[in-house]
Amino acid sequence: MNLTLAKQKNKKQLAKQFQEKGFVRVSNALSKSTLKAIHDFIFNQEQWNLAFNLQGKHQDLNNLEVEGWPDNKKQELKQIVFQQASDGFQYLYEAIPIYDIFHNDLLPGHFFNDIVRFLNTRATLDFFREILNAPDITFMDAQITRFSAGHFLNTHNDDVNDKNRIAALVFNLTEHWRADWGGALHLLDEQQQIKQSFLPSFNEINIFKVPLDHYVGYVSPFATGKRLSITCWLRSGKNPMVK
Amino acid sequence: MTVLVNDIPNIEELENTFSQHGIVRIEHFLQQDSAEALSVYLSSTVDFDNAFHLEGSNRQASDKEISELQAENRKQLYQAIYQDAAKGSGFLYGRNKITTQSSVPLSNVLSLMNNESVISIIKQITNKLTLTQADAQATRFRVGDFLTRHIDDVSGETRQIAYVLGLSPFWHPDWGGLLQFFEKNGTPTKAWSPLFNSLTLFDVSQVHSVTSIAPFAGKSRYSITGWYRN
Repeated sequence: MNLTLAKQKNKKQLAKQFQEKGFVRVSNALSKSTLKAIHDFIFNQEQWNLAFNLQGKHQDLNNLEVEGWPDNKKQELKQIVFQQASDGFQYLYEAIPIYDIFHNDLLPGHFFNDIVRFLNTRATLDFFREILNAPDITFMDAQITRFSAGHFLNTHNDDVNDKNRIAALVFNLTEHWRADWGGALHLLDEQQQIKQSFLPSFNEINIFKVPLDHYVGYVSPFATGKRLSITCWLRSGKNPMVK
Repeated sequence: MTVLVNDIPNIEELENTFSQHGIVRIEHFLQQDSAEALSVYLSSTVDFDNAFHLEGSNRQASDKEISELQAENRKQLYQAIYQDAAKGSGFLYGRNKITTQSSVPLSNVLSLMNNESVISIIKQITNKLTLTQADAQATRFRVGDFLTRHIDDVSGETRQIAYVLGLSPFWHPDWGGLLQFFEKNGTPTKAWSPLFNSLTLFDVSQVHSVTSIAPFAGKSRYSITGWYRN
């Protein structure tokens, strides 16, 4: 099927907001059939990487394997993750690196590839070039993420050397979420105070200019839903994954 | 221990912010030594009762009562509290009601919040000219504590303005415990990470919550809170 963004009537308004504030929210982002196809696919996905950080190095575990661990081993993992979270950068959430999967051709014919292609069509990139006033955008990398009770992503600014990231995007695909469950995307100002919060939502894109300190708030232990999104970066220059 | 306030140089600015948003934060509210002494007192000396909502009613239990529960019963208690919270109701946090009979630093805070010059500043900032008095409680949010979305405007009560005096030094927003405000439809508006020695004032009609404290929070979140009333 042909994946598309929904038509936006107020692109000038969105561009103005982004220019003024450095962030913007786009509602009704994906066309109806695209939203359903992508959402349902991600919602039903069973295998994920459980991602966290260990002394500066990214770690991935197979979520299904971890679920099968005995309680004491799960507890031990939590302790390791939390220890680093108290006073430094840490995260705990589930992810699927669809950009890497696509470019390394790891799952030929899989729907993940269609999502990456859709994010990089001329129509999609042009939309973001226009509202961000960034004609130098050349491609978008992406991962799918899922946050449930106990997950979080501590403050960081997305500024990674040589990645030429212009802005970060979150395609929100969470159909039912309660404010009390946490998991909001918080953008910080220079005093480390929160200047904007975006709760998980359905079919909205949150966009912000990088580098900018931000974090995903701890998801309350009583949250019963899952926060689903595609997290992307709009980048300039040559795509290093394209030979 | 006397508790003293600083001069507030930017009252007009605070007044404008409050009239636009119904929420405002005054930084450096107490004199630094007062704030520091109070913060140490709260985290080292004060006993808190754990307040929570269970099966439709508000209850409380001391730390001792909770720790004496058998592990299985304690687990059931938290599960029942979390079940309500998942549906958007309830709370779990420590509190200590402050009265004129409370120990000295706490009763001094109560008198300070009721001091004529402080009330007159609050009246000016909020433009609520009928305020006459404040009540106060010390609160503690430990790992796992929270307060779901609600408004403080309880019918039959004379509450006008809620206040939160933050007394947690060096809090990191990653740890949760944000004072989060919402529009009536649930869209988040403003969120405040605990800021040491700041006094946040908001109209009791403002929908708000305190987000869950993450298990990796380096400490508990302490504050003095209460309401200014007619």
